[in-house]
Amino acid sequence: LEAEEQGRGDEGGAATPVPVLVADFDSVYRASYGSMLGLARTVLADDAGAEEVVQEAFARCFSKWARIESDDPLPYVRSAVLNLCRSRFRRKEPPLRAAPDAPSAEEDAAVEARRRQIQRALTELPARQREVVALRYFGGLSTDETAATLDIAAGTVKVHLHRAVRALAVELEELRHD
Amino acid sequence: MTDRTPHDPPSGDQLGPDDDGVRDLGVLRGLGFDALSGGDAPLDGLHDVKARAERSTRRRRWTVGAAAAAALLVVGSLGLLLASTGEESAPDVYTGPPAAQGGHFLLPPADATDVGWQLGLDAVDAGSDDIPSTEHVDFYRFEYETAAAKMSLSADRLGTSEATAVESIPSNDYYGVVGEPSSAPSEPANFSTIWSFWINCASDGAAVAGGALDEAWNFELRSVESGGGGECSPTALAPALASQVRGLRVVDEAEFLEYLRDHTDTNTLDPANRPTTTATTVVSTSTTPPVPPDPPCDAHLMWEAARDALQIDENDPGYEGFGPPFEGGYGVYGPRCSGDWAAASVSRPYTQGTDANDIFHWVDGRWTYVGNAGVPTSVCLIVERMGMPPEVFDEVYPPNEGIDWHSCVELGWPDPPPPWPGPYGP
Repeated sequence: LEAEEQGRGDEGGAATPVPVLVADFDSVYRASYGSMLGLARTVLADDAGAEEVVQEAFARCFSKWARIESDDPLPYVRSAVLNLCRSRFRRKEPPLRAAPDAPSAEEDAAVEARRRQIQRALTELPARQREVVALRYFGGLSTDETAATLDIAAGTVKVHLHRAVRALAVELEELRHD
Repeated sequence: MTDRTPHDPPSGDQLGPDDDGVRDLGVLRGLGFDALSGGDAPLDGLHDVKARAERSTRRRRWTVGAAAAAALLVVGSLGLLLASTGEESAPDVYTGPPAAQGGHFLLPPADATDVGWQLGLDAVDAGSDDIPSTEHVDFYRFEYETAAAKMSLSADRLGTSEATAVESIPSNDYYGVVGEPSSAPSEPANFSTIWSFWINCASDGAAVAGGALDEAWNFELRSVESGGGGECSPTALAPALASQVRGLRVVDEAEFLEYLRDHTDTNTLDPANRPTTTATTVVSTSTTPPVPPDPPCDAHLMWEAARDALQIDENDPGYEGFGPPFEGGYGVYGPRCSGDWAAASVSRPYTQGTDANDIFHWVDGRWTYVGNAGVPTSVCLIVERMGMPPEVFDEVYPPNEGIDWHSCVELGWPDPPPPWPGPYGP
């Protein structure tokens, strides 16, 4: 069986996680790479670091695939991404100024510009708020699942999410006028 | 749900909490959050992932033989550790820098060689529930070597304790700042029990959680039971960590300080070079100290400090997979000086190139490496605790180039933190 990718759902506007029916590694990688990268980009606000984290997380999962493939592997991958993001945060200060790299030919310049704006706005958020946003939006976790993952109360998840959204909206509005 | 375009973000007062954050998530989508999604995986991504995994597997296989022999030592050490820590009294909540209060401390194994240690400041994320932005993290850190492994061990005032096999980690991991290997891992370490282990405490001292990467690359969070009824303190946490990492010793403050004194000749960041250490105080009480001239704003001298503090090996070509360092190679670039403080970029391979805005301080005739002013918390720590004058910070680190010290207030520090007493300060 192939991993099955669902389209992005509309519930809450969040990117719908990719359900994997049977865990073929290659399929899981291809199907969930985008959402995992989005998760890492949200937490780290650093493109290069996020790509590195996602690759490393998948590599670690691949080493243990025989153990985790029988279950839904996405939580493992997600945990790996999140933990590696935390490790990166703990161990290395994120770059203050992202290296200016030119938009790729394949990537729409407007999307990239928006991504950079969002990442710049994300750097103003506390890490925990970024984690909540990442898990809710790109991880597709519910409030309760996010609370369990982060070991905080469900109400705290809601507060973090709301504060983060409010701050992002304000910050992005300011950036638009810069 | 209002479907907004990226150019039509809602204002703050248009937002409000709802039952399950549905509206908030919709706003994120309207703000253009899908732009963060990675889309399709890169064409060579799978190959890269599997190659990484294979390299890690080879490392582990290499160590299996020695690991079996080491297991006996692990069991023996663990037994001794448990016996030695079985009579601990109720823990005190950890509220100050490591050397400023009682409690228990972790030391490298008795057979450790090449011990370097460091006392300093670290930054934590601001504003989260369990680590409020008001917290400063004073840490102590050892890097040492045993017959089996090269290790890094650290603990800080939040009760975060950590041990990491610095030479066992894959080349593309992120532990370079803590323990950059002094040489390439040509001889894989035999460390086989725990690759990395850390314990985090909630700020109220009540909750304890931990995480681990074990030899099989497990990365799931683990729940760690502290001793002492769940209180978060070195007394509770040190035995927990020691039970997980072979050879670590749990000692009291007196033995901890004695150990530091005995290893002063090998430390990597002498506390005497700290701006408010006892040693500095002695100097200040001497008769009419001469006014020193401004120190040389010399990148080479700063490089010596960074190289020693961060244990950078200039002969190491760097790990496979890393891009080249700064265009000039290893070194310090673009120093900006003001009096006895400076900011510069430090280039080294393990952090994927060059860290900007590393701070240096001229103490006792030489530059010392202070830290990286890369995030607001670090900036605040450097300004408020390390004694860097804010106006000097502005001079070497112009606000328009990034985070400035004024953000310390914005981070929500309600009260000014106590002055940094220095690791041996009164």
